[in-house]
Amino acid sequence: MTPYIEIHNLTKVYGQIRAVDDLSMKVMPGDIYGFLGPNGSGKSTTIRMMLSLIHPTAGQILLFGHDLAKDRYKTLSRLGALIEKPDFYNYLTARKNLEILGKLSGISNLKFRVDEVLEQVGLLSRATSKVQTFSLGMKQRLGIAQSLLHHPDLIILDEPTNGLDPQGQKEIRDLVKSLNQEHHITILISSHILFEIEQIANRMVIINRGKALVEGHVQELINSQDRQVAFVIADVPAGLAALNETTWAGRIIKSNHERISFKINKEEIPELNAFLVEHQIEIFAIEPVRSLEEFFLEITDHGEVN
Amino acid sequence: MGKLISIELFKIFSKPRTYIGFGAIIVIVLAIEFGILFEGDMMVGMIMQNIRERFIFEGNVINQYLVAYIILNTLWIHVPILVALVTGDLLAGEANSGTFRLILTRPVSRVQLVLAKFIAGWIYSVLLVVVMALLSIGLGLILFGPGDLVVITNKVNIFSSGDVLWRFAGAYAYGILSMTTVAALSFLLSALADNSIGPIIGTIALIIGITIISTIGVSLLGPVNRFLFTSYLPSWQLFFHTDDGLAKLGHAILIQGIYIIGFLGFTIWYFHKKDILS
Amino acid sequence: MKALKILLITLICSSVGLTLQAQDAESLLKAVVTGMDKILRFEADALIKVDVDFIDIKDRKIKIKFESPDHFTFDAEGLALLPKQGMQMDYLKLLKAKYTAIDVGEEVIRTRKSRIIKVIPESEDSEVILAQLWIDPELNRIMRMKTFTRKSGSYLIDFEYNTNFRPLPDLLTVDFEISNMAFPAKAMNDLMSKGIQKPDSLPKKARVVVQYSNYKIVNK
Repeated sequence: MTPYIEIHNLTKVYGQIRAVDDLSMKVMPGDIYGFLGPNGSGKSTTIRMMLSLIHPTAGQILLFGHDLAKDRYKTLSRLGALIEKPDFYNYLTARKNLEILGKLSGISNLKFRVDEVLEQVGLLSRATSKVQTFSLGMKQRLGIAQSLLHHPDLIILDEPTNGLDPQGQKEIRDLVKSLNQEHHITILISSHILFEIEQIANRMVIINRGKALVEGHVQELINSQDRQVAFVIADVPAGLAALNETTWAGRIIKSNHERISFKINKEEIPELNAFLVEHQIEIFAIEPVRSLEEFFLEITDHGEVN
Repeated sequence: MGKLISIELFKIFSKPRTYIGFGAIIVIVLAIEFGILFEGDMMVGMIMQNIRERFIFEGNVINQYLVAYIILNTLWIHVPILVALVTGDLLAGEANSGTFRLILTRPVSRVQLVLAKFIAGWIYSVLLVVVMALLSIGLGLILFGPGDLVVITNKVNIFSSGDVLWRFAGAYAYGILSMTTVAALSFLLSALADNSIGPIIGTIALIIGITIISTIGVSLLGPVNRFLFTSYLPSWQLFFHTDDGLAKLGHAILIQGIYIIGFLGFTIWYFHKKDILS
Repeated sequence: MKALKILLITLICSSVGLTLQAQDAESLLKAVVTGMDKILRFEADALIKVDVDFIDIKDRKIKIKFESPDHFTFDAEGLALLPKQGMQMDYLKLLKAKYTAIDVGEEVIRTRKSRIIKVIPESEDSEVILAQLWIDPELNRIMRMKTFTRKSGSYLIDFEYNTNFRPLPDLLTVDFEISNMAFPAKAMNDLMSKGIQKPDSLPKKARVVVQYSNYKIVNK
């Protein structure tokens, strides 16, 4: 199967800064592909290069098996995108905005299609309102509507939940899922929030400082890591004292006033539990803390770009 | 291409700033026409004092054509501002509002988009000149009636009314050419900027700046003046010269044409390779 | 004594001669006025050619209407420049007022023997300070006139006739001098028009030729 996005050794240099550094990745048809990285890690630059907004310094981008540099028309006509914040012609209505963009994409039966996508994102009732009256959430949905206009096979969404409240974020996630599952649209979604990717993506890449750090299936990436478990206990000092000079002491990652976190595998949990009970440490809960978030924070220097 | 142009025209005419241009033209024309209606006799009397001492003027000196001619003189100072107001926004406005991300991710050629925007901006500029022409000559006819045109250059040219219309048509056509140069300049600046204030002010500052420098420093710049586009913005006046006017016009048109192609060519090249970061 | 007598006689004779000459001049001028005064009204077409270095105007056709004693109307096709002197029978006004006339000789103007008469208006308000007229004594018509005016310089006006019966000219040539305009600063226009040379202010020769046709004269 031909990947929808195939990037080889993509590099973008601004003066001394390598915004994207030898990046390679693949998005297969049917994927919801998470493009994860902290702010400033090069996600947007990469996406803009995929959309021919920015010219790469080096490397190759293949979309639907075609070289973007040579076959821009063919590739862009199968692609929808929403990049960063959803900007529109604020002085025009939602419908007019979509009509303009639809014309540029060469859509036939435009009026019908505009209503259809507005309905899809729940904005049909506001079709004749000027975009300047829209909330950010509504603009974001309109952004997705415009990316859907021309029945794309692939949608690229750059931080689509940025600035939205939790309810808004969930709405967008649900919309993305339904587009993928019901309309069979392949989606590349970028985010600096791992939770979001965890929720919806099946495959992902994590990048930092322009470099791909890890790429693969989301579940595999999670499971490939050692498990971290937090024991929520009544008396942390007593617990630490009991553990002192045992082999468990070396497995402690961190502790605070109510919990001690251990780096242990699944099978060791009952053993540690028994040890603590034996030493009359009251256990309130055992929580797995090892999520992709921890992993993400760890490999991206705790969210900071250094 | 036609589709792109119609979209760009739609955008231009959906913006309030576009109507500032037409409003300003209407105000300028009305102000001058009514000014002349009340003060015109005194003005003409002052200007033609010497001739009036020796000659009896028989006929209507202050007529629609004289008024239209006086209004044409404002073309090169006011209209460039109004042209830049829209053409300076064509690219920078999209960069500022972030909408390039929407349109350039569509299957649209950047070169075609730039050309479509320029043509749409040009159509707006043409309409400004046409509105000015129709309003000044039309209102002039109502307020002042027809007559022969007296134009004072280094001599006094009196054109029969039958000999005037083609001169005005030529002058307005040349005015359109001048405004095309202004539009191309502000369009170029618009490609360089990410907000429209810079290109608008930049265009006017460049036109006025170069004009002042080339006027004050005629000896300094010498022959360079012959090749500055600003020297040819008011060359529509050559249509009202009786001697060598039309001969000089060829040079003026050539220089303006070179600048238009140069400005537009640079804009296309620059925009084609520009990274859209907004 | 004899010499004194001769001198006295000469003086008397010459002064009598001058007086006689003045009477001749005045009667000649009166004859001209009388000829003109017969006209109750007239209409004519005229073609006006203006020949001034710094004025560019095509020939203009105008219609002239005159009502006695001194009412002229001009109906121009477009804009016409008419000379201040010559076209409105200004000489009649001059010759109907009080003046001193001196016959200063004779000259042949276009084959016609003409008397040269100097006219000095007595009124201090008169626009004309001094005039010199060449008059055809046979037909009592002005052949040429030179006037020195208070405000608008001097004019030399030639009157040409195609007939012997009409006191009105068929061709009028008016020569005078005019300075180029004191152009007001035309703001940035002039700054921009570097090719345009500033006009000098020295007086230039001006000529206006008026060609009359289709006279319709109604006499009193």
